[in-house]
Amino acid sequence: MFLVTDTYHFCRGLAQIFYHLFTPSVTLQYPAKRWEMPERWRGVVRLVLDEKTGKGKCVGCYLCARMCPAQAIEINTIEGPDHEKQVESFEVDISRCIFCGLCTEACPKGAITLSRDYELAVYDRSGMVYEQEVLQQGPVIKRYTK
Amino acid sequence: MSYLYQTDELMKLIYETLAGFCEQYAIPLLYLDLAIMLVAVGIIAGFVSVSVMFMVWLERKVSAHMQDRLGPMRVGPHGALQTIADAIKLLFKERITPQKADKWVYTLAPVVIFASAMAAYVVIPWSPGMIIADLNIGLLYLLAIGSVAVIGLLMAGWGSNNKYSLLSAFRCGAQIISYEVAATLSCLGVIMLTGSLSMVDIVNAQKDMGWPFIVVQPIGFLIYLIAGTAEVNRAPFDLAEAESELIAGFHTEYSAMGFSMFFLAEYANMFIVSAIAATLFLGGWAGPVLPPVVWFLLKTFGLVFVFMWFRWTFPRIRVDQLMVFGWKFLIPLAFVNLLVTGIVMLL
Repeated sequence: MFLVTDTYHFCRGLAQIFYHLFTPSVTLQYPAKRWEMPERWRGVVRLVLDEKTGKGKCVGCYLCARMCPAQAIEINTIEGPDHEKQVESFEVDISRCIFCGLCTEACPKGAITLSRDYELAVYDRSGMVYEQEVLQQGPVIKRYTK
Repeated sequence: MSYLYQTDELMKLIYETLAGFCEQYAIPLLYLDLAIMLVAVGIIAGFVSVSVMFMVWLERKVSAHMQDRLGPMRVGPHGALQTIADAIKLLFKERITPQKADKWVYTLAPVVIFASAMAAYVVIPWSPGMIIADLNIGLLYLLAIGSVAVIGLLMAGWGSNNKYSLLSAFRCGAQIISYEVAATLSCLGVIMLTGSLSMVDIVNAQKDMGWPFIVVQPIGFLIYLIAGTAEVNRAPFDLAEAESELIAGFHTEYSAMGFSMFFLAEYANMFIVSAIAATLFLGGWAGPVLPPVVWFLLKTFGLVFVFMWFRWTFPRIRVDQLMVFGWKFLIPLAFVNLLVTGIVMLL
């Protein structure tokens, strides 16, 4: 009796495996094709531009820098022509960033978000500190194209 | 074109042309026979390396797709040149001999295994007339030469001076000896039906009967398939190379060409077991429309695929299960099969 049931199960297993021979593969040919990241993916930090003026939304309140557990954000502000606060530089050391998203939660103006960009490897460590312009336009990712 | 179908005529033509040439220039026929032998060895060596490369690629692709992966894709179209790249890499690797190894035994082991695998190709019938030596004891020769591999495995296990290798060699020896019995007994049914041990006679008998022996010997075919899987040490009987227990088994200590010879022999043995099964039970080169060589290769590689299918379906069994299955189930079943065949033939 065990022979019959065992043979049945063997055949079922073989059939299952044979079926999988023809199902589409889940592998993505990575450097040639890339995953589209989900909307809530926490990638590299991005500074949001104001739609009307085209300038950065950041007001230089330092809240994100205070909040950052990895101390990756460094902001410098200066006094503008109308005695208002102006952001002179806004740098994020991406090698320190832990992609926790606390900066976006802290920001009162919605000026900083986490984008869906990944593949942040660089050849030079100095390239890991992103300047304001880079943060506004998104980093230039050098991709393996072959 | 018709020579593709009547390869015996082709072989005769080639031999007669060469013999005529020899006569013209007064060269003794002995030299011609020697030259033919050398050419045959060259052809077989070439076929072995190419077919093994193809089988390794096939194994990787088949296993990948069975697991919903893609397998090698980057070297050549669908990774077709991957094994060639791997082979070139192996050629450039350093050959390492462990300090405490038994040098002679260690060095000779891959040669013994590879030689036994190559020797088996001598009696494989590719097509009418296309057989290196149609021995009248062809099948016996095949079964005997298949057992020589055990010596090589034991040499590798002992010579490496490594406990994993040694354990693996012991397991392997026990396994091959146990399953050899079942494999031989399952072949006996075919021999009884044919009344000959010659591979060519076995194919011709099936051609005369009109259908392959699998129709009358289905149990024999199944037993041979299972015992054959165990004999070439493939999953689910790959206890000798059980990665999680024995690293890589008997070839743990081998690198470069030593390792590649084991690898080559493993796949060559798989081809041989498939070729024997195709010849004994599936009718060998016999088949409609297509040329005989194509039929033979189709059947053989079909069985190679079945071995791969087995490997990626069944989990590895334990040593005691292996022995119990071999001695208490497979061998008695083979005897019963033999008995039934005999009784039916008598009636």
